[in-house]
Amino acid sequence: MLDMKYDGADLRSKRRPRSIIDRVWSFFASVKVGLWLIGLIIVGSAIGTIFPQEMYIPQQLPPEQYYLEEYGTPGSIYYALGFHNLYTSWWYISLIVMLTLSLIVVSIDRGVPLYKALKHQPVRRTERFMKGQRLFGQGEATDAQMDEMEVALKKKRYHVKRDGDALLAEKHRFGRWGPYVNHVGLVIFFLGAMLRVFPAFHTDTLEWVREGDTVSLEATDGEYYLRNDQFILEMYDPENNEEDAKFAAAIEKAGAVPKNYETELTLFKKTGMNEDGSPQLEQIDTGSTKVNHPFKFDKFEVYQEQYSSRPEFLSMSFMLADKQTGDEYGPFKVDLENPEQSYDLNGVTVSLKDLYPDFEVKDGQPNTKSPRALNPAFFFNVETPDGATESNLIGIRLNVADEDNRYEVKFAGTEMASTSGLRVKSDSTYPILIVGATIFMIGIVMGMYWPHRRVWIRRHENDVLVAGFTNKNPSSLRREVSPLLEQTGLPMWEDQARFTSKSENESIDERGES
Amino acid sequence: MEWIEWSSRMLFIAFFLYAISTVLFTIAVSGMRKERNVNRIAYGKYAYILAIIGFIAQLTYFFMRWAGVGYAPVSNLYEYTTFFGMMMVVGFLVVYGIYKNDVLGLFAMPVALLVIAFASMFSSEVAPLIPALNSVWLKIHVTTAALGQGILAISFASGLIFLLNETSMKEQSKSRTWLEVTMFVLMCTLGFILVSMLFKGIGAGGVVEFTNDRGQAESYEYFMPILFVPEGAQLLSGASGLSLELPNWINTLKLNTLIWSIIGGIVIYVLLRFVILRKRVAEALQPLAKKVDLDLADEISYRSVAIGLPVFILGGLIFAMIWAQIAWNRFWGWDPKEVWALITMLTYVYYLHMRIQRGWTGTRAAWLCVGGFGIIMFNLVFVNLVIAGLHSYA
Repeated sequence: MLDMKYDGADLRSKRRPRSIIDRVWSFFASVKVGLWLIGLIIVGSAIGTIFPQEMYIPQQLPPEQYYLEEYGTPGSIYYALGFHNLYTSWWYISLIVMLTLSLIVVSIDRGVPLYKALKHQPVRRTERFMKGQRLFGQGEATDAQMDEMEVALKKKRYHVKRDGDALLAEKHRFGRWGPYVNHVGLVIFFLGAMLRVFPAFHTDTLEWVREGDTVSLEATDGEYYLRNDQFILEMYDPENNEEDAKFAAAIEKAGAVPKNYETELTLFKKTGMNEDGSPQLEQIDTGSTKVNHPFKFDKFEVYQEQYSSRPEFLSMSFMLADKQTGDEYGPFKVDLENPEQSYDLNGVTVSLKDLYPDFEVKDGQPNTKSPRALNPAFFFNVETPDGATESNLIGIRLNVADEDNRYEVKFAGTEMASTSGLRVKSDSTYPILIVGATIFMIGIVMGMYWPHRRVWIRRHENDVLVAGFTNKNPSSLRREVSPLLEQTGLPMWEDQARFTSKSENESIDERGES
Repeated sequence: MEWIEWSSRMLFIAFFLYAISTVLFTIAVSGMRKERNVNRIAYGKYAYILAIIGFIAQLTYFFMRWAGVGYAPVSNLYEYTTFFGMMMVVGFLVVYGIYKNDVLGLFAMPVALLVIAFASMFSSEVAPLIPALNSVWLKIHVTTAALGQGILAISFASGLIFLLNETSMKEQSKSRTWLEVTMFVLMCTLGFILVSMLFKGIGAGGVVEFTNDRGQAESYEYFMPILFVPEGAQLLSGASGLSLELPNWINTLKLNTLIWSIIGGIVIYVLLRFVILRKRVAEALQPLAKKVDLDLADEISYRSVAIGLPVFILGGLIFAMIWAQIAWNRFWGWDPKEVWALITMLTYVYYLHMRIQRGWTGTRAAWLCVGGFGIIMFNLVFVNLVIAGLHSYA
């Protein structure tokens, strides 16, 4: 049988290679090479899922240790081979780049000649050509029968061309371009994805914003500012919310389940600078961002990505008690952001000597773990009217002071704020990716749902020859056209490449039984 | 709550109807004469009608559960797997509509039944939807992906028919061995279902507590007799029996379930092979598969891939990327489920190129269809239960 894949077109890759470029071209134009690449990508991708990639493991431990402790020796080997960052490894990326090259080369190598061949295809084909088709038949027939066949084929929406006593009926030729269209879509998609290597094409920053705070957005080069008006964490509440009652059993088992993470926010644009160096802001928009519903402005998107499970302290208030008289003074409020250094309470001066936003004791000394006000502690000096200085270290469940002190600093209240982790992103490659994916999908549907079918009929000596070709599914072509051949009385064709069962003998036995 | 109870009843009715449909297909195929292809009673037609009614019952289950839980019920393993079974039935109904072949029903319906029975082993408890899943894309992405997989699964059924038909059972060959392995894997799935039901019925299992590798106390609740426990585990309740201590990085709870499923599979297989059929399982099925000619079986496989793959790519990759961008602010993150969806696509792409460009039809193509279904099931079972990732349900 004839190889009909490209209608016998002359392919550059099939010519005898002359230069190195020819050789490279032939390599990438080879379907065999393309399929090897696909096979290797399948295997490589699968290996990458055996253990989690580095980006998904907890960050407390060094990865080397994590893989060993969590997955034993196999994990250790996995790490040693670099499979913990498999999808960004040189060899995996090379495979993808080579596949992209292969898609480009193969499409040019085959698509262009095929297009030309199909555009200029003759109606009358040689006897050898017709006999070389998978569906072929030969026999006697009249011209009237051929005319009848032309009508029948047209009814099946074939485009029919005549050339004397030869006929060509063709359908869905555009389906033939499906593979090339989807390859083009894929190449566009890959190129779009590769552009993301350049920082100019996308910005991506995580902004931690405390309730009430306004931050300059780094991703916008300080052009925009966001204020976190309120962070909302809603849990399913089967006891008080009727709609959630049906989840009671599951929640009892699993513990509290979050229903909504949302940040209400206000967007500002910087219009200039004030004399004191602070920005002049103009309010642009208000809105909210929650999981699955990003907030959009300009070319940016704001995603609700994280939140701090421990709210931060904005301020703490204290009372000053006089142990001798039982009088209490205050309260006085210490703002954790901009604390005042001393507080005057009815003639007694309380001064803030030290502030530990995130208190811990390290090597026997008070210390702060981080600058975030998660667990604040205060070192106060109380200057009594009689000139003495009394020290107090006070914090959450912490009050260190001399028992003989006259004054006692007592805890009176706090103000707290949640902190929301907002991901601010822009990506100018999205349109490219969307176009690529759309073209890819269109190409797939074209190629899979519109099979190219052709039927040739011609007179040869005293006989009429009938041949059919489709690149996809010969049986459907046979089912569509065979009844027409029978109806018009033209010679019936046969499928010249039918399967024969290896176990034919067994089935004959069975027929004998039945 | 009414809705949920009724939905469960509808699912049971659907399962029952599918089972009868399978029986009728068996009768239809056993009575089929190869040459004339006619039965006195059109069992195949009735079987098809029953499958349609069963599908309507399952659709009713789906919408009743939707009404009950308040979101598209495709959010956990029970719901998703049930839905996938339903989409296999859809795939079968479509392909049967084209080819009207009873043998396909005989092979496709039991696989769908097995999938639905497998689904019912997971908790059907109504669970609240976490914010990440609360999106219109849940219904769009998951249902389209499942429909694509359901249609692709039909290529497995007809690929199996092709291989059973074509492989000689008289002489040793790779195909004969691997066919038997395929049968054994199906038996293990059945084994898992039966063993789970048995042990749930008699209340075997227990709870052990141990210190995990992060130094925290953790407990495993076994629903099957305990064979394996983590190092230094303490039995809190239930019978211990002989239990082997294994290193902590192995999840002994899952291993325990796996080993019991294999034991169940071995028991069923041995019974079938040496007591009931007294021959290879594939050999016993061969006469049924012989009722289809090879070209047709090969073509049905191809058509299922040709119809199913674009649907899968749309739902499992493109819609998936759109949703991932909205929910996780990146369209692609090499999460294991994403990677295995990509692998599924590439496998069928490989199949199509091999077939169209390199003439791989018949046996090799049929094996690729079996392998493709293996990957779909792997993505459903292993990626959710064993490989941890963003899509893990359990």
